[in-house]
Amino acid sequence: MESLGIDVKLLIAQIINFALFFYIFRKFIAKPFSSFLNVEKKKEEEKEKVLSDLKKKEENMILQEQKAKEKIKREYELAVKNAKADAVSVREEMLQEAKKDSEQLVERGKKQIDEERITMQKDLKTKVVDLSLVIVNRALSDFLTEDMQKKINERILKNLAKDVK
Amino acid sequence: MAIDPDIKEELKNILEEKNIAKKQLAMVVSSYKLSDAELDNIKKSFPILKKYFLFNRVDNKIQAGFIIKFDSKVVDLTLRSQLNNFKKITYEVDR
Repeated sequence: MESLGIDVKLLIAQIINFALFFYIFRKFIAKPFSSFLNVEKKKEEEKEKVLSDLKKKEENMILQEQKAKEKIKREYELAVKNAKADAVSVREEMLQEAKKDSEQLVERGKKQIDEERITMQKDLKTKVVDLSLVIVNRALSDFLTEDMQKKINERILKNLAKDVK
Repeated sequence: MAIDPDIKEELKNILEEKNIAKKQLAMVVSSYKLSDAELDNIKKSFPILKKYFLFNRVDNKIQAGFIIKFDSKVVDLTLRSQLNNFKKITYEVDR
């Protein structure tokens, strides 16, 4: 062995040294490190699990949000449709009412115009009659002489006598 | 003191109207002064006036014809009343 250049003592010492190193490494470094790695691995798995759960929940929430949005949209469209229908019916009612009012106004106006026309005609007639009588009276005052007045008196008496008979 | 002629005339008329009531008087209002013959004619035409004494009063406004007033009665035979009747008829036709 010595001819090969190997020192047996040193070899044994190195073996013992290695064994000691192996024992100490295994006892005080490899185990805690391994358990630390395991713990980290477990934590990582839990994180993954939580993340996947969260992802699922997020997907669910997005789905629910979409559904809710669709529902709101449907309700909104329905409400708009109903409001439009109501507005149309209200507009129709208002138009009918306005038409009715305008017709009544026109009718009332026509009636008033007729009444005013009749009143004016009556007034005009009265004025014409009054004026005519004034003119006749004036004309008679100027025209009738005493002789004519006498003749009228005679005629009145004559007619009276006829009526009595 | 001189009395206003208009007032005098008015008083005369009032007095005459009072006399109509007291005595058997009848007033004939005409547009001109009637002669006695005309008054007689009127009396003949109205037998009821035989017991009345007629007196005449002039009113130019009546145009022609005459009005007889006795007791509380009035007989209007004037042209003015005829015109007024015509006016009333015209109004009535309107209704």
